[in-house]
Amino acid sequence: MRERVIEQLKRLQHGSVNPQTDWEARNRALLLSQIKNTLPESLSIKSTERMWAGLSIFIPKPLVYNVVRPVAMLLIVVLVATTAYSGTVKASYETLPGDWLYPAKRGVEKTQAAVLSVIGNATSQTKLHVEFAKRRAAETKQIINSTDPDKAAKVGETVADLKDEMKSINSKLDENKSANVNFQATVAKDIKQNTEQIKNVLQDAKDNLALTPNVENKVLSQEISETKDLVKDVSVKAMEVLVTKHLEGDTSVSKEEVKKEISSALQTSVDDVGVSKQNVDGAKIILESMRGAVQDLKSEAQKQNNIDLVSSTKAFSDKVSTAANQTVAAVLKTEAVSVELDKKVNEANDFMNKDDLAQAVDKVREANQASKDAEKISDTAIEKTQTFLPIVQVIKDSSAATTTVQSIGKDLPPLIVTTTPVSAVSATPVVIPILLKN
Amino acid sequence: MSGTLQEKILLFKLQIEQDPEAFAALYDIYVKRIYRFVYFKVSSHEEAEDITSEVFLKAWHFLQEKKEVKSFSGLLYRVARNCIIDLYRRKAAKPETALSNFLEEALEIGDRGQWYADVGGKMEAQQIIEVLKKLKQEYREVVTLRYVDELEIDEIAEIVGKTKMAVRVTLHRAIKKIREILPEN
Repeated sequence: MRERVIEQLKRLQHGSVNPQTDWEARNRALLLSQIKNTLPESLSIKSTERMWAGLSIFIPKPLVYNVVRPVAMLLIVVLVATTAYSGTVKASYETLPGDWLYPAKRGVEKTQAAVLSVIGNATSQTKLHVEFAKRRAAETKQIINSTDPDKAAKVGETVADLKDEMKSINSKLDENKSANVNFQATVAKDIKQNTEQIKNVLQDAKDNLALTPNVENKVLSQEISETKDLVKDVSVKAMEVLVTKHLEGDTSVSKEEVKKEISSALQTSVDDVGVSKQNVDGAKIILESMRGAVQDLKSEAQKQNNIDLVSSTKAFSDKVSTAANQTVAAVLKTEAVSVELDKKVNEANDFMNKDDLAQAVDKVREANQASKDAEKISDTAIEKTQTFLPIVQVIKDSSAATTTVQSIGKDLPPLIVTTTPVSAVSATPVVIPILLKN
Repeated sequence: MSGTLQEKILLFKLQIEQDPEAFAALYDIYVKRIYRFVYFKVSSHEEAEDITSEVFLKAWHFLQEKKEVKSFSGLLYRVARNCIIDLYRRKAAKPETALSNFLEEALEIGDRGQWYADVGGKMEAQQIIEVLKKLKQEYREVVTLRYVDELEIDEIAEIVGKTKMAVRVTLHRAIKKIREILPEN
């Protein structure tokens, strides 16, 4: 019965209850003409709005506007942020201070550090500072090797930043030592190895600066030396943490590896002292030969009764003699340091043989101090030698007109004084090539 | 009514681009249904034609105001319903429009009597029309929407402004009432 009623109702949809076809067409035309009159002249629909409206054809409108659109926006922001991040980092990775992308690089680094300081642990934070320190060291080297007229300021900047990074690493290591922070011995090992690399890069930079001695470079060299000392200290501290962790039962680094690191640290100190010693020896030879040359010049002037020349060479001779004596003292000091260092290394080796790593690492600290002392002596000696170079040039010029002085260096190229510290492997005592013009 | 893909695309063109051709296409799809919906509630073809034209024009203006439209057909039915209510108000002083009047008129004038054969005879058609005439407006509306226009329950609910459950209940009662009224009972 119900079905029959429904069937009857359905049949009503056919027939005269529908509009007449001609009215339908007329009404259509009329409607179109009416609505066309109400159309605005131009439509300015944003393409994004068009997109959301278009999307709502396929997805329910509330879902589009309340879910899809916010999620899409978030995705776009994340996408833009990450691609911009990676793009910037990639583009700015090789930049140096002064480049327009360098601030972006530093900005990203600071953001990373800030984020890690909130959500990261001590390990990740320390690793990040080590990575940044390596970058600063590499930048320093690059700038020094460049011909940038503004390199002094830029190196000052990178070295200052490097110092900050080293201080951060240092404080992390201190926290670790006080047992507030826990990171594995492997991290300490990484720090130790990376600081070694940084130290070498700084040494290269320092060598490069020594090739062109001037006031600016002297200041820079001083800055780098201080930073290098800090790097050495951090390296030793990392070594101490490594040993402490190992003794506390951290097996991430084996005893053999710890011993290897201790040996490597000791060897580094020995190499450093060796280089310092060679430099001081070189400076001594230069100044000795300079003293001899000036002495010859003085004798020649006396022979010729050239009063002016005698007095000027005498004053200079006195200064050179003083400097030469000081370098002789410096040589003695470095020899003493070297002897002392050998002793410490032997002691450290003895401790290691007895598996007394704590005592061995104490010797590493002492050896590090010795290498720092030796480097200071070396720096002073080199600096002293360099100050005499312009004066030597004057004497050379003045004596050229009056006399022939035979220096102890024979058949040597034009005046060159090499005081550049050289690596332990290739180091040969610095020669004293002074050729006072024939 | 909740929308075929075609309707949605046309509505998109209408809302975003205000494309008159899209409106024309929607008119072609819905004009008969709206006309029928109106025709069952008014007294003549003329009134049905006027109201149908008014419904489409109002729907256009509604869309131009950038008001949100879930479904174009839903909009048309709602506008049609309001137009019919307005018409009733205007005719309030006059005697109630008899459904049988316009149905009879339809039978006689509308389709030139052709649909008599379609429903299986004049007597049967008259019977159902008489029954519809006796129904309350509320029942007549949902019954015609459901079985003449063949709309889904949720579409009817949207048009009449009731919940789906309320529409089902009304529909159930309307059919029950028809069965009570029909001479066989």
